[in-house]
This record gives sequence, C-alpha cells and structure tokens, in this order.
Amino acid sequence: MRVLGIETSCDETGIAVYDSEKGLIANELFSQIPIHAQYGGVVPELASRDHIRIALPLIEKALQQAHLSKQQIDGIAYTAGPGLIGALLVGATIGRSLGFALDVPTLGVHHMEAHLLAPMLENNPPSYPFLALIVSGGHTLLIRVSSFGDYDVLGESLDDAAGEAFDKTAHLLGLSYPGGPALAKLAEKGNEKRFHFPRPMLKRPGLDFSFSGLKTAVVNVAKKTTLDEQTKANIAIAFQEAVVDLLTIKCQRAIKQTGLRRLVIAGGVSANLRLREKLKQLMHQLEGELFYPRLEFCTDNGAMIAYTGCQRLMRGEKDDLEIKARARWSLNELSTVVIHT
Amino acid sequence: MKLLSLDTTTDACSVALMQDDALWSRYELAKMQQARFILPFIQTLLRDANMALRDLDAVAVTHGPGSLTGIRIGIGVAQAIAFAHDLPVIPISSLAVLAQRAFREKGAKNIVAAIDARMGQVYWGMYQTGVDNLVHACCEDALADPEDVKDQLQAYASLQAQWIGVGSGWQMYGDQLNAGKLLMTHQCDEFYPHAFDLLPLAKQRFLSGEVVAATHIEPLYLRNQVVDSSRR
Repeated sequence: MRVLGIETSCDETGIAVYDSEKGLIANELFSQIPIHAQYGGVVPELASRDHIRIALPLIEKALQQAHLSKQQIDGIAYTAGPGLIGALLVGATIGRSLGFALDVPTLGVHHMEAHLLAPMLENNPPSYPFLALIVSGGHTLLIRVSSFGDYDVLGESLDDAAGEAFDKTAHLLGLSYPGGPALAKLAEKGNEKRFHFPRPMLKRPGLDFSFSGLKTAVVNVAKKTTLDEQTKANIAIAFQEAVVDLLTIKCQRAIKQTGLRRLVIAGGVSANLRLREKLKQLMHQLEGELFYPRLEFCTDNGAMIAYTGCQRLMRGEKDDLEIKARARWSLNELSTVVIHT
Repeated sequence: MKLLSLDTTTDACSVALMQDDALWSRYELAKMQQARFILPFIQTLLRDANMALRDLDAVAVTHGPGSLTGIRIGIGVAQAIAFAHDLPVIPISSLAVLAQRAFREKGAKNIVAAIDARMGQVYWGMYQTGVDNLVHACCEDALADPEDVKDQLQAYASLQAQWIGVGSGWQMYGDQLNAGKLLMTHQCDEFYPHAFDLLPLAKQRFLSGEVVAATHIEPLYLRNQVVDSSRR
C-alpha cells in the first residue's frame, strides 16, 4: 500500500510517500523557521498561511520524486492533532479532500504516535514492547508501547515541555529561535562546574516532569551575573546537564518499573547529542538498547505520518467524510487497534 | 458547462453545481462547522446530478475575504479536487458573491457588500449589476473601520442612485455605516454568500479564460496585520 503523508501541525510542512513494501519513497519538507524566528516563536496565523501556500506544490514535488502519478496513491494520512488547530486544519482539509477526490481512504493520524514510531523508518527498528521518551517543543512524554496502537502514558510534563524550556532559556541568553540547537552548540564551550541548577521533581516518586522551576533558576542566575560569552556558555551547559539528568533519571525509573529493555527517543530534543550519549550509557548499563530516528525524523516530518497512517490504513481504519482536527488529543484516548483477520 | 462552486468564508457553508442548464445547491448555516459539512454536501450534489468530479470543467471557490480559517478550508477543498482531476480553479471574492445574491434575491442594482471582520472592522466592496445580470466591482474590496467606510460612501452619495447595503457587516455596524445622508437602505437580516451565486460569475470568468491552476490559488485575506504588535 502506498500512502501519502501530510504534516502541518506546527511550523513545518512535511510531505512524504511511504510504500508498505518499498519503504519511504519520497520525503519533502518546508521549514517556516526563518519566518517565525523574527517573532521569537511560532505565529499561528502565519503558520497556517504558509501551509496552505506550500502543501499542494510540495505534494506535487513528492509525487515527482517517487515517480508516481496521483492515481497510484492508495491512501492518504494527515496529522489530525495535537497541534495548532488552524495549521492542522490545512493538512486535514487537503488530505481528506484529496482522498475524497481520488476515491482512496484517508486517516487522521496522532502526531505523538507518529513521533514514537519514527524509529520504525530506520534499518534497525525496535521490536515491541518498548519504552518511548518523546521530547519536543510541545511535549515531554514517557510511554509504554506494548504493541502497535497500544500506548500507556506513564509520565508527562506538568508545565513546560523540555524543548520549550530549551527555547526559553536560549531566548534568555540572546540566542535566536528555535534556540534549542543553538543552546546545545553554546554548551560545548561551557564549564559545567561553574553553575548548578536544580532537578525539579526528582525526589518525588512517579514519572512526571517539571521544567518551569529550572527555567526560573536560570532566570535568577542570569539576572545576578554579567552575561558575557563565557558565562552564557557556562549557563547553557549547566542547564543542558540539568535537563538531560532529569530525563535520564526518569527513563531509568520507568525502565525499572516496567522491566522493558528497549528505549526509543523521539521528538526535536532527541536530536540533542548529550541526551543521546547519556541515554546510551544508561541502556548499556542496563544491558538494554537505545533507538532513535535519524536527525531529520526527530523533528516534525511527513515520513512518520505516512508510515503511521499506512499501518492503520492497512488494518482497515479510515475516516468518514467530515474534515476533523483536534488541538488537544491525549495518546491515552487513541483506541487500541483491533486486528481483523 | 459543468462547474462546482463552494463557499466557506462566513457563517454559512454552501456548495452548488452547474450541469449545463441544470443547477443544484446546498446551503446551511454552519458557524465554525464548515469542515464537517463541505465534503458530504459535495457528495450529495454529485449524486443528485448523477455526476462525478472527473466530469467537471472547473472548480470555483470564494477565496476571501471572511473567516481566515474558513478561507483556507474552501481553498483546501478546491485545491484538492482540482489537483486530483487536473481542473482549473476560479477564485472569486466572497463580497462579489454576496452582491450577486443581493441582485438575485432582492433585485438590487447598486450594492455595498460588507462582512463583519471582527476587531471592530468590516471587509467591504461596492458592486453594480451590469446588463449581463452580473455584478461588477466599482472599487477594490478592502478592510476598514466602519467610520472610514461611511466617509467613502458619502463621497459616492452624489451618484444619486439607490444603493443597498447587505451582509453581516451591515448587521453589525449598520447604523455607523449608514450615518450619512445617503440614498441608502440597508438590510439587517442574516445574509451570507451563497455558492449558487458563484456559478454565474464563475461561468463568465471561465469563458474569458480567467482561471488559475490548483497550486496557484491566492487567498484574499485583506487582513494582513496578524502578529501581535508586542511581538515585533
């Protein structure tokens, strides 16, 4: 089955074609980051305007890349949530309508399910069950993945997402949006001994996260110090260490609690090299294995949507004719797939 | 000629179909619900007319002004249908369609169409019906404060013609818009664009070759100040 995937939940327009036999055969991305960088964050209306302008030409390009005519598409998947509602509606409208016009089934995909399945696009995919840590600008989630479609959210952030904390701290240090990668780069020059930030909620049992206290601690330090380049780098590394520590310790706790030995990391922050290094060490100690997608599939992309949609469409799931999108949508609400044999 | 037209720019959702001399349409008030209604409406009309999308010559859509999300829903649906079947698209102003409806239903010849733009403003345009029974724009559609619209309408008062104001803009700001000593009446009833009135306008454009490719539909937002000024 050949599935066209459409991702428009935030500030990247992603289009891809996934073939259940050949794998990924087209992948296109248009990033709006330069547009939103001027405003220090995503402007929802501008994001929607770019999606409607970019999506169809990008679909045309993806089909050309895959040497496919539109009639050779067997199904269409689009991100139905969670995300910015206006942005989601662009992808949902085009995806659902294109399926209607081509007379092929379509399906609205859960953005976080797609993220946690992104490593399935790699050569050495994890087998079920596994533990997944999704860390992005909008979400911090620890999920037990028992099998395809069977997800149990074990912990999540009670305030800021990990990526949001990265972006806000980067903004404070005068780095441009999105600051996460810039902050990690700056941390390379930092002295980690110079500052120490708290690890919120570490002493409390459970698997939930909190990052706002850490952000406040950074604000307080920044106020008291002269922010020369070296100091900024010192703050950056201390902040990164605190976040990575928090994430690593919660993962360790979740692994002990669940007995799972495979850990998947996904989402924009999973591109952070220090996080990968620490989690690799952890899984080595625990005689487990760490899985993560290639860098371009850590951030938002159409490939993970096409893959996820393909799995569900092949199981016979499909939309009715209403165009639907949801700004909020918990992974726990995602129904477990009933496999018809 | 076979045309499909759709409008989702205001609080209504409507679809119409022209199959040579036969016409079909569906219209429903559907505030913020256009995404749910639009495809089932199209499917119903196609069944009623015993037609398939591939039989169409073109797709017509109101590309604004109006609800920003509504504009994109209409354009997204039109893009997808046109792309799937290699059809040209005819984008038309929702204010023109509103004026065309006022001509059809009220016999209006000189029309000031105004749509509530929220934030104390209106999208508005002036239209006159020609001998071809189609409305023609007297000026460019614009976004403005009701006070400014009133001033511009007063400049037209010398035309000595009877003008009629229609649309949600008049419903909302009728007294402010019609404050001058104009030869004007305005309607306070719920009056939204109807895809049925897109058909004659689209037919004329199609015949004169005023069409675009699915990938080249330009939304007519008119409102371009969308970033909170504190973020600049």
